[in-house]
Amino acid sequence: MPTPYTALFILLGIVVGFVVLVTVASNLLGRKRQNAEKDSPYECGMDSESPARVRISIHFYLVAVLFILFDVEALFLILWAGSAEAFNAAGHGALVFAEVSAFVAVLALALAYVWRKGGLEWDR
Amino acid sequence: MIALLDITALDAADLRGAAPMLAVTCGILLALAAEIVPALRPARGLAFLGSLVAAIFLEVQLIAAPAGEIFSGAFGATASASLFGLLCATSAIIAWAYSLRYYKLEAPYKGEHDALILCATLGMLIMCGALDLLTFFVGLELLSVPLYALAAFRRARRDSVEAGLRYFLLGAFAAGLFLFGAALLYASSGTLSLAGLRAASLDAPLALMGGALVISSLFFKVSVFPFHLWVPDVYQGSPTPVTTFMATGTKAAGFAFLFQVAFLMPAGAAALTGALAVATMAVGNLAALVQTDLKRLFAFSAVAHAGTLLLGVAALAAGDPVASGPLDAALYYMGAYIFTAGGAFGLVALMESEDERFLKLDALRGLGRRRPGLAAALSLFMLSLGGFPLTGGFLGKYFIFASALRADLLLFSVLGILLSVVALGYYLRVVMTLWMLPAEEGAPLLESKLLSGRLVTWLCTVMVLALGLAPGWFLERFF
Repeated sequence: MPTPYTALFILLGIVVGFVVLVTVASNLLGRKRQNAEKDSPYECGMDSESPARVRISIHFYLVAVLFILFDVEALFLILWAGSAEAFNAAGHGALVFAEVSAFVAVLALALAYVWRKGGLEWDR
Repeated sequence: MIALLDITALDAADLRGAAPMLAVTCGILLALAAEIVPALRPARGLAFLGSLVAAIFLEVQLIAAPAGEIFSGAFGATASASLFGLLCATSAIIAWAYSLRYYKLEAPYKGEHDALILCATLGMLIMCGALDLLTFFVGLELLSVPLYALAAFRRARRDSVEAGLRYFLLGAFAAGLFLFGAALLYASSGTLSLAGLRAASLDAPLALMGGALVISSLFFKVSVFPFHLWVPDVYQGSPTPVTTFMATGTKAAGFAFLFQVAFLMPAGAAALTGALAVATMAVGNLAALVQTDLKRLFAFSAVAHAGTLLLGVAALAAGDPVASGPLDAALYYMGAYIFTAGGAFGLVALMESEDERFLKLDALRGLGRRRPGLAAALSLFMLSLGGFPLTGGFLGKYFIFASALRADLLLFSVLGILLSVVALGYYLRVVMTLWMLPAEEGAPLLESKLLSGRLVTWLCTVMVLALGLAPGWFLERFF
């Protein structure tokens, strides 16, 4: 029952089969010589000095969340700015401006809240 | 560009239909403003209560005169959506009233707690009326993200943080399922609106898969077997007022949309849904029998109640000859459940805020003698949860099973009724512990006389009795 996806599934099968074949073949046929150098984390460059799992200040997440908030704000504002002319021409200019103003006012409140709660202070 | 201009043309019906959501939004902004300006802090409770009461008032208006499809068909301010919305807003008020003295260590952050509850309520209102998979998803996330934070609100406690993380991970997974399902439905039909999906033929494997994924993610939210495993741990670890809200409001909003998208299930899925409903009731009721912790007991009872409501969805899928029968039955059931479970969880919160030992069933011994009023209210809620006649819970169950019988789901109805009898085993155990067992030496005392808690307990008691004794009054006005 060929559907448009049949070719895709055949390709998928070939890809998976090839990967399995190559991995198994290299394991069976390849020569294995173990030494200390090969067991080191990096065969070139520097040895790692400290564990990779360090604790990261929660502040980075806060900054990331705030960034998203105002990043998305910019996205909406740019969309509005791009089509403001068309809205004006259609006579909806004032309504859309009021909507955008309400949106910015809500975000301004959010910014004031974050400020008040000390979310903008970096070294606390 | 033409389509864009059409969308911006708000009219009066749009505003009227969205008015409850706007009221809740104002509440959120005021709650946050009270955090910014300390002088406003005493008015926070007023803003919270005022916005929700306004939303309820506006929903009542919408039930009498629905605004219909608004925002170009993205949202339906229908009578049933407004009634579901009313129930969600009520459940937020109930949860809030019991939370006033609950938080000790976290009391300075109570403002954030209230704002998050309002955000989640707004999400529920959007979910209840969504006529578009994307509108629903916005509501779902607006509900879920605040609830993740609320579940972990007692952040100095391991169990609370664990509940938050568990809820977040599983919830994010369910959201992914929903989005993937919506994408598949869009790929096969080219639309995300429910009206468009109804008109499209959904027999292609792609569409069936999409529908199954969307419905599964909803099953997760309303805790249907086999997606119920998160419920006991999350309900137990979360602060009890938040559990109250989760058990009642989230369930109402989830089932509101589940009834909307039941048509995504292929023909013949009614029997499967009925089987899942019975399995959910069986798992919930049998597991609740052996619990000794009140919150876990009520959590499993909440799972069982989700099963009963799912039987309503099965009746809809099987084709109840009374077309509006299953939805109306579910609305009545949900109405009774909000007040019953809200009151039951709320009283646990009230007792817990005095002494955490009250979370154990044994601590209720002899309470009937020391606090007869409270014990009587809790007993009434137990009887209503168990479906005793003269309570709202009985009529809710009756309507659901009647609808299932009309839809020829005889086997599942009989099994469901038998499992309701099993449920009495643990509901009556609570009643017996309250009244018939003597208090132990050194049992915790209960002095709490929180005014808001008393008022809301009275409200729940009166509503449970009214829904059981005068169903005509409600059926006339709200259905």
